[in-house]
Amino acid sequence: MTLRISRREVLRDAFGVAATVGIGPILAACGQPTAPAPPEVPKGKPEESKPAAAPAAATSAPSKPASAAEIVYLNQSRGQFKAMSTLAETYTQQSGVKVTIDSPGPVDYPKKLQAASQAGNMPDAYYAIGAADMTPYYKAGFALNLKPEMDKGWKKNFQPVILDLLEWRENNAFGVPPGIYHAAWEAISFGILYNPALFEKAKLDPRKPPATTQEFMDALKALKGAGVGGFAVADTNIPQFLQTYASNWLTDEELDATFAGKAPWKSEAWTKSIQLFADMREAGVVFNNTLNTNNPDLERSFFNVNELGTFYTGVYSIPVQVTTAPEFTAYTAFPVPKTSDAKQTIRSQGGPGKNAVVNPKGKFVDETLKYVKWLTEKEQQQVFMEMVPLVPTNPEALDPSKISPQLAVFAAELDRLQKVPTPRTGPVNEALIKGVQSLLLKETTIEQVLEDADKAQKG
Amino acid sequence: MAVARVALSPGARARRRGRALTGYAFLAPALALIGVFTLLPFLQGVLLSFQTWDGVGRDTPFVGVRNYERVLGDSIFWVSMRNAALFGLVGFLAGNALSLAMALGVNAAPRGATFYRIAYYLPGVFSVVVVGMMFAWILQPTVGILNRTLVALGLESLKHNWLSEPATALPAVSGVYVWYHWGFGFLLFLAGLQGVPRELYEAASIDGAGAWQRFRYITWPQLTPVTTIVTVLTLLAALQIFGTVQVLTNGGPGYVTEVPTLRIYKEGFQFNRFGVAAAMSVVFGTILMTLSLIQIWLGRRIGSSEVD
Repeated sequence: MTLRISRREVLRDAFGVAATVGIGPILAACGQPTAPAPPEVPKGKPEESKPAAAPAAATSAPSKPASAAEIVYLNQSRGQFKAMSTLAETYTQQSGVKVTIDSPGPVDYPKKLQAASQAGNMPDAYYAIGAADMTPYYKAGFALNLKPEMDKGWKKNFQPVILDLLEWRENNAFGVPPGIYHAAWEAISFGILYNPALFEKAKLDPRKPPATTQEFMDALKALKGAGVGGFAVADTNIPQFLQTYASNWLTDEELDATFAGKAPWKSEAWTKSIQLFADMREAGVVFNNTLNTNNPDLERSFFNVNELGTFYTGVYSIPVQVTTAPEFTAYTAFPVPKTSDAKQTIRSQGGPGKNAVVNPKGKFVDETLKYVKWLTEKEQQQVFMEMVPLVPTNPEALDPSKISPQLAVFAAELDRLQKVPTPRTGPVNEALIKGVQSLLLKETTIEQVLEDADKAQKG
Repeated sequence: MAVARVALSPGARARRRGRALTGYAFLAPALALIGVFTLLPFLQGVLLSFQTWDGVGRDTPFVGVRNYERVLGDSIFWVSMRNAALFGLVGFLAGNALSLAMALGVNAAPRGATFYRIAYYLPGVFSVVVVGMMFAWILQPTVGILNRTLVALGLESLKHNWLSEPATALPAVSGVYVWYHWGFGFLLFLAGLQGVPRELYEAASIDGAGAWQRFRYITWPQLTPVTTIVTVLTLLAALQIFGTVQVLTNGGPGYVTEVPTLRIYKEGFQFNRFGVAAAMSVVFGTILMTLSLIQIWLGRRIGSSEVD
C-alpha cells in the first residue's frame, strides 16, 4: 500500500500544528493573570517542627502567621545554603510566609541575577556580590533603600563599622543615590592563616607569629629553608592585601580618595605596598613562585595538603576547613604585619559579607523586608554563626565563647577595620592582580603596575 | 546557445508556484530561528557597540565610535589578539597535523580501527570544565601527576609550574586545547581518506610510487575539500578559545594567556561595560570573518591547482 500525502495536506497540517502551538500561549497570556495559589499554612506549633540545628532560631519571628505571601531569596553562597534553608523553613513555619532559597551556585549567580533583571523577574531578595558589582542594580532601582528602617531602630542589629561600610554617601564616585541597599549578617575581615606544625619544622615559634614586616619576611625565609611553601594569596585577594598593607601609610580618607579617583595610585604609599611583593619575589618565598592561584586551590594546599606555611585570606575560608578538613584544627591566624616606617596603625580591609538586598519591585516587599530583618536578629545570626560558621554583624550575637580560636582572630580585626566607603572598581582590581602577577614574573615594574591602575581608575 | 522558453499553462504555473511556496514553508521555521537567534542578536550587538550599557539598567545612550576608539587603544585587547593568533597557529598546525597523522594511521591499519576511533574522539566528548579540572590536577606544580612522574623518572630538572610560568603557560594550555579538540579533525580526515578510490593507490604502486609520493600526489589532493573545511573550522575554534583558558589560567599569569573571548567576557560580565564588549566582538568577528574568507579562497586556489 502506498501512502499518498499531498503538499496541500502537509501544509494544512503544518499550519494547524503551528497555530495550536503558537496561538495557545498567546490566548492564554491575553486572559486574566492567574494568581498564585496561597501556600499551605503549616500546622502545629513552631517549636515542634524546629530543626535541631537551629535551636535558638526565630524567637523573634513575626507574630501574624498564615500569610499568602511567597518570597524567593536568590542565594550566591554555597557555604550558607544549608543555614539559609533551615532558617527559611523555620520562618515559613512560624510566619506562614513561604520562603524559597534559590541557589544557582557562585559561578552562575551573577549571570542569573543579570538575566533576571533583563527578563523582569527579579527575586524578592537577593545577595549583593561586591559593592562595585552591584551599583547597576542600585541605580536601576532594584534595591530598596534600607536606611529609613535602620534609622527607625533596625541599626541595633549591626556593628557601627558595618553600617558605615554599608552606606552609600551623597556624591559618591559611582553615582549611586545615597542610602543603604543591603543588610548583612556576616562581617568579613582578612588575616594570614598559618600552620604551626610547619612553623615548628622551620624552627619558628608558633606561639609568636610575625608582628612586623621584617619578622614576617624572616619567617617566610625560614619556611623556605625548611622546604615549606612560604606565602600565598589568591589572585582575587591581591587588591585586598595591598589595601590592608597600604594602611601602614595611608589614612582611611586617603585610601578612599584613591578609590574615588581623587588621588593617584602612583604614589609613595602604593609603591611601598607593591614593593613587598617584589621583595618576596627576590627572597623566593612566594608559594610556587606565582600568585596565579584561586582561593579554593590555596585552601586545599593549606587545609588538606598542609604544604603551605602562611596564607592570606578572608574569614570565609574557615567554613571551608570545617567542611573539607574537619580534623585539621591546629592552625591559627595573625593580622597583616606592620612596617617599621608605618605612619598609621595598620587596619584590615573588610566589611559586610553574606547579606540580602530587598527588591522594591517585588510582589511582597513588606514581607520580604520583615524576613530580612528577622535574619539579622540575634537568634538567627547565632544559627549562621554555628552552622556556617561566620562572624555575625549583630553585636549581641557575637559570643566569644562560642567561636573557634581562628574565628576569634578575624573577629578581633573588626575593631580596627578600615572605614573606606568607596569600593575599588573591577578594572582597578584587575590591573592590580595582573600587575602583581607580572611583577613576580619580572615582566613589569612597580611604576607600570601603578600607571595601569591609574589608567583603569579613569576607566 | 539560445534556449527556447516554453510557455506554461496556467495550471502548470500554479503548480510551480505551489511548489515554491511549499519550499518556503519548509524553510520558514529554520529562517525564523536563524533570524531570531542569530541575525537579530548580531544586529543588536553591532548597535550596542555604539552605545553604553551597564547590563542592568534601561539607559543605553549612544556614544558614537567612542567604544571603538577605546578598543583600538586597549593594549590588553591587542595582547589577547596576539595570544589568540598563537593559539590559532598551534591549533591550526599542530592540531591538524596530529589529527591527520592519526587518521592516516587508523586508515592504514583497519585492525582495531573502532577502538582508535573511540579513543581519539573521546576527549571531545567531555565538558570543557571537566577537562580543565583534570588538567589543572595533572599540571599542578607540587602534587600534579606530570611533575611527580618527572621526579619519579629522575627528570626533576624538567619540573615546571606549568600553568603559572610565562614560558610554559601558553604551550601548556595549547597542548590541552589540541588534546581536547583533535578528535573533530581526526574524524573528518578519516572520512575523507575513506572516500579516496583504492584504484588510484593501486595504479600509483604499479607505476612505482613510494609512500611519500602516494601521499603527496593522491591523498593530499583528494583531501583538499576536507582539509579546507577542517582548517577553517579548527582555526576559527582555536582563535575563539575560551573555556580551556578560563578554567586553567583565567588569562594569567599576568596577561600571558589572555584571549579576546575572555577579554570580551570580562568587559561585559565583570566590568559591566557591555558597549565596549560589543565593540570588541565586532572587531574580533570582522577579523575572524576576513581570515575565514582568505582561507577558503586559498583552499579553492590550492584545490584547483592540484587538480590542474
